[in-house]
Amino acid sequence: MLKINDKVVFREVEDKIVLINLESGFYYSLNEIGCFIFKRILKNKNPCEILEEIKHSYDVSEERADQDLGEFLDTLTRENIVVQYN
Amino acid sequence: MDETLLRFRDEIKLNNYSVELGADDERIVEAVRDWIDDGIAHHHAGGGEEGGRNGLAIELFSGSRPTDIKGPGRRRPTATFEDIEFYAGKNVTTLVIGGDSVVRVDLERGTARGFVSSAHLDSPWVISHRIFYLPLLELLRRRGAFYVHAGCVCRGDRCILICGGSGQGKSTLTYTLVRAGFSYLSDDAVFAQIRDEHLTIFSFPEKIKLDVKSRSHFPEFDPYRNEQEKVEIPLTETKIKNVAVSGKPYALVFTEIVDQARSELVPISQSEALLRLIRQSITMTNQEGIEKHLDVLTRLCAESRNFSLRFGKDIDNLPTLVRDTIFGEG
Repeated sequence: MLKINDKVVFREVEDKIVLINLESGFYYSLNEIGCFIFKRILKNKNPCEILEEIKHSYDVSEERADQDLGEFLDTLTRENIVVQYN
Repeated sequence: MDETLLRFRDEIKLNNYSVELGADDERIVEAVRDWIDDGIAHHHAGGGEEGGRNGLAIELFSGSRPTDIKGPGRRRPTATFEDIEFYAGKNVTTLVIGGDSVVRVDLERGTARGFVSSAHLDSPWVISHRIFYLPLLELLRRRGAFYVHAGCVCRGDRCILICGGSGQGKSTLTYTLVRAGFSYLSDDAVFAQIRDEHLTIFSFPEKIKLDVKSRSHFPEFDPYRNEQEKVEIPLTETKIKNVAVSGKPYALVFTEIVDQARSELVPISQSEALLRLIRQSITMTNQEGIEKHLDVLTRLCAESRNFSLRFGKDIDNLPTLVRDTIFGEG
């Protein structure tokens, strides 16, 4: 399972989310689809559930959605914005 | 205060805060005093009295290091900035400046006690801007006043905050607007504070600082033409007529020098403005402080009109551009 790192603070601003990783001091903004995924991680959805919701909400092929979601989660993990937990 | 050692004193008033500075060496107090502009400080001293002042104290020692001013030990710094290390705890933040000056900031009590190393004692800029000011920012943040790296001018009580990295025209735009009739708050730093549920901006009473390029635009600074880099200039030697201590946020302008004839003010989103403000204003010390700081900056972006200024070569046109675009007077 994934969760947002306790050392990440964020605020929703208009249609974006702005994040600060307190450990690295780096900050980010998420676009619409990034916000969509981030909010579902906050709700403890797993990647499969998130993928289903993306397919339901956006006009995108499963293959493309799966690839983009995987890349985005890899980035969030690499940047220590999300962490794995059991 | 330790009455026997801290023989040299000063008090700085900041809107509704007062900062008592005590030191065992006159050079420490002089370094801070020389940085403060008496003309602007005079306005602070007379204003912001409602509800009394929040008292803060900073005590700096140089002769012998008091035993309670300890270094961070073997901990890793929470954050670093240039040659400064921050070690954040819930109620105490320790700063190590240049390796051997140390300040312990007690956020709960609103006090800071520090040791100024002999290497820094003859460096007024390090004393004022690092050893005194950075602990003060931490104290103010805990007391609800949040640093924003921005120049600021006012029209009535409506503030335009002018943000930008070094060399991007922040001070030049600030001073250009002041010459055109806007009131002056600051050319470099302001504080955002929520008072009675309203967001308020107030200034720090420091001297205006202009670099060679900024000064070259204004004939009144010809006497400084042989000075290199940034010069701190007292209010009395500027064309600033009206000084304001505080106001309400109205617009944020992020400056960026571009190689084009005409300047442009382009609206930007709240999230873009917030990202730029975070970059300029938040020190990554304790989490609670950062969260509150982020809340205030978020609100600042939400309550302001946000623009990017593509700063061209038409400085004389900037006041009209600002009046027309931001205040809709065109």
